[in-house]
Amino acid sequence: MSVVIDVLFWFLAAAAIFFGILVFKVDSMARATYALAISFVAVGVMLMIVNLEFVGIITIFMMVMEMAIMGIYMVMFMGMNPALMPMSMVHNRRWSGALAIGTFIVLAAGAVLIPWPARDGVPALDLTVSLGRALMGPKILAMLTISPALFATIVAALVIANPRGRYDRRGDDLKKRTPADPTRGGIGR
Amino acid sequence: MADSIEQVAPAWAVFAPVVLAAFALVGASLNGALIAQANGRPFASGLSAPIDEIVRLMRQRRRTTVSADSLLWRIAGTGLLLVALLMIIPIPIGGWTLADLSIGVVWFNAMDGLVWGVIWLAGWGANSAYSLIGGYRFIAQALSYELPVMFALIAPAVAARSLRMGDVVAAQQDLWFVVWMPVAFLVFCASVVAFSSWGPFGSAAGRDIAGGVFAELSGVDRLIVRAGRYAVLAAGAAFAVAVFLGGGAGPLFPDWVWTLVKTVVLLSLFIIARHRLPAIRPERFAEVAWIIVIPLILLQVLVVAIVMVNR
Amino acid sequence: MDMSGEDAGKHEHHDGMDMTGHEHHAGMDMSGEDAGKHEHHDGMDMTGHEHHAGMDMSGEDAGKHEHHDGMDMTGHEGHDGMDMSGHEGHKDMDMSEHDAHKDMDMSGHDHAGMDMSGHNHAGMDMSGHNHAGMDMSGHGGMDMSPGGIPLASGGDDRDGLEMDVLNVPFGPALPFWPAGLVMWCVLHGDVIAKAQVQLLGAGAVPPGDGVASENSTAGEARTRAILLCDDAFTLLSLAGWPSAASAAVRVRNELLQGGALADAALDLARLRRRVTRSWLLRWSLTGIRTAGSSTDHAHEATGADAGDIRHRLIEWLAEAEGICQSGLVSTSTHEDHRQSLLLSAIPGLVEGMDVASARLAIAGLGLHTAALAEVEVVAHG
Repeated sequence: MSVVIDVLFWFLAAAAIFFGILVFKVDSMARATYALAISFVAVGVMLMIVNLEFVGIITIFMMVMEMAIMGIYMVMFMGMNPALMPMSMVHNRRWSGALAIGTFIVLAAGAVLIPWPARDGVPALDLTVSLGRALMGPKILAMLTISPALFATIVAALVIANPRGRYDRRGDDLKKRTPADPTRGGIGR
Repeated sequence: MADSIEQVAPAWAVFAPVVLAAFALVGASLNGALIAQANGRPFASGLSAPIDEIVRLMRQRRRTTVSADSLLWRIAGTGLLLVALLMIIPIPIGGWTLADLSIGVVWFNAMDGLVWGVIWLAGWGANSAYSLIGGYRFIAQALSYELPVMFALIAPAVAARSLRMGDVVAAQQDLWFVVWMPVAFLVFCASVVAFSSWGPFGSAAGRDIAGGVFAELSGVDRLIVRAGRYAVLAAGAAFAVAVFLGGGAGPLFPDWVWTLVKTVVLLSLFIIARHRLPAIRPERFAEVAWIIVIPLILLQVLVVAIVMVNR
Repeated sequence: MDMSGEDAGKHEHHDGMDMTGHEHHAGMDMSGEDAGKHEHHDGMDMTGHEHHAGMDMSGEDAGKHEHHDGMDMTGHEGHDGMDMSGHEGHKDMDMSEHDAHKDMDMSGHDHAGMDMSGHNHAGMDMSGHNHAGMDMSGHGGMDMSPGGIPLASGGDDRDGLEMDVLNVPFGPALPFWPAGLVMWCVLHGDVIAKAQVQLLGAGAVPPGDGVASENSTAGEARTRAILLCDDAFTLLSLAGWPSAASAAVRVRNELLQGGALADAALDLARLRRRVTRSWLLRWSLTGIRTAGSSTDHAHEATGADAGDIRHRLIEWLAEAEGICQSGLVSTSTHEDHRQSLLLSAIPGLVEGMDVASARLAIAGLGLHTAALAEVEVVAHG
């Protein structure tokens, strides 16, 4: 059984790298985006194999949704490629290549060459909980509070970036009953 | 209802697509019958509509469009059916399940995140203005329903203190979750209809854009995508039964019978919703989802959490 | 397809419309979940644009469609004689490659303007079309027209984003669309930036305002009721409510076949109550404004009055019900004039709207193009 898992693990690792490279090789924005999504999914499955199921499934979930949205942005900003024309995704080829390969080698060397301690005892029943405790320790409550704060920041940034503000929508004295929107919103506020 | 879910041997996995296909067929038949009834013909005459469609589409010539991104398009086409099959893996029928995942609740949520990619790619791959508009409408709508459904699935997980489907079903022994989590149930059902591009949330496949995401599909591709749509509806109904409607709980009959019956009933309600309700426009739905639905579902989760803390 | 009067040489095979060498839309998809009546056919796409307009007729809801869905024949000039009203009963058309144009009545058709030379779309004369905006510079060495379709250029849209520009024609024959109306749109995403409408001329004006009815003495009242039911059906289908739309089309079919006006009045009353009660429809259709006043006050076409679509729909149903109950119709002598004014109001109306709202707004106008079709109107927006 563990042979199967080993093979699967290495296969997924190779797939993740392959699809990551593919991101820069394909000819279309949509393909690049979803190649990246597959790469992330491979990583998520690897996490699930090592019994970190929750972390793995959340990785898959979040990454696919993010890639879907990212795909839309990529098409929007570099949109001219629905037609599978050859295109180049890289800039400053030499330095970025060197940096990417260098980073990969350093991290891979770290993962392989560091003398990891031998297992002492049995793994906890709930790996996710024990992983969380190990990573965040006594600061879990702070982390939980930070996440809605981050979300509020994102929303606030979008609101500020919106070129049409309250005064555009409701007139200079904010007295208009229905806001002047190009498309009327669902609750008419 | 047994407390523990028994994971069956992998050989039984062969039955899963069969059962899913059966449900999809039931849904499609009901839809066909309702259409027949709306057109003035007898109800029963429409029940064979899916069979007719299958035969027709199997022999129809496959066509493609100029410069279509065939790879992505065909992947997306089969993707919907595959996602439906993946969705049903942790769902228990009675006391049996294919895989007793420790993260069953989140698994379903993750699979419906995959639907985002699948439908958008189906819209993109066809290189057609209408299908692209359909794909984008889907994402716009998905951004609206996804957060509410994530919170809606947190509620039963909190109440069962576990993400395992077996535990969620077992925690409903006294009282079904739908009774004290109605908001979560409604939000979940709405999101199942939404990620299937069905009925009131079907603007991504709307007839005003020539079928939207389905516009350029033909032949066997069309068959698979439409079967996938019904399959995903059925999978969502099955999941809702397990998580909100007590799984197999019920008098007299064995639990797997009850599971199937409840799934059929819920699936029928989803199918009927399409005929009773007009379509919702995604841009108008966004405000409603973010400003009204999210606070309500958060309140629901709060109520559930307070109850569980005090238990 | 009866191509009487056609010059057979120009139409060797259906491939003639199909750019050889391209995998193109030759086929017609007649998905009808309603297997019994495949009366709509779709997908004869003959454009060379990168987008194929109006292809799918998923007749998940059949009934008798008298308009051809999805025959988008843009790029062809001189489409006289595309008389699409009064057609009934097209059978299931699965157009495989070598099937010639059967069953399609294209009398009076003139394909002289079709230049289908190979891959070169430059030869296609796109009347009324504006390619000036396409910027083909940059990216030296790359083929700027993969598949023969030029890449889209960019342009600022309604909200100030720079989006690709798509030139999409909403063809003369689409489901839930005034027959013969062509709207050349410049789309940013799904927002219409500019539109230009053209009404294709008809080969012959069908009798009775486009309603093929043997019983000419039943005449105006019935005709008017049928047209109103048709408009209601169109609007309800576009609003995504198949069962209400089916109810409307059933009434229409029964009236068309000479059914009793009293029964129709009852059905219409029921439908009107259903539509009025639906809060979801009201919420969904809010905010789409259409031009023109209601049919009762028919003297000015563009007014500042309630252009609300739902209101318009309920009025149509009420008027049809009234006609069926009383058997009388209040004729409007200014009807034609009003209709052509509505036609010219379309470009201004849809500018800035997204495709869905635009189609609803146009459906809300209640255009009856058969009567107008003699006069070929071109309006710019």
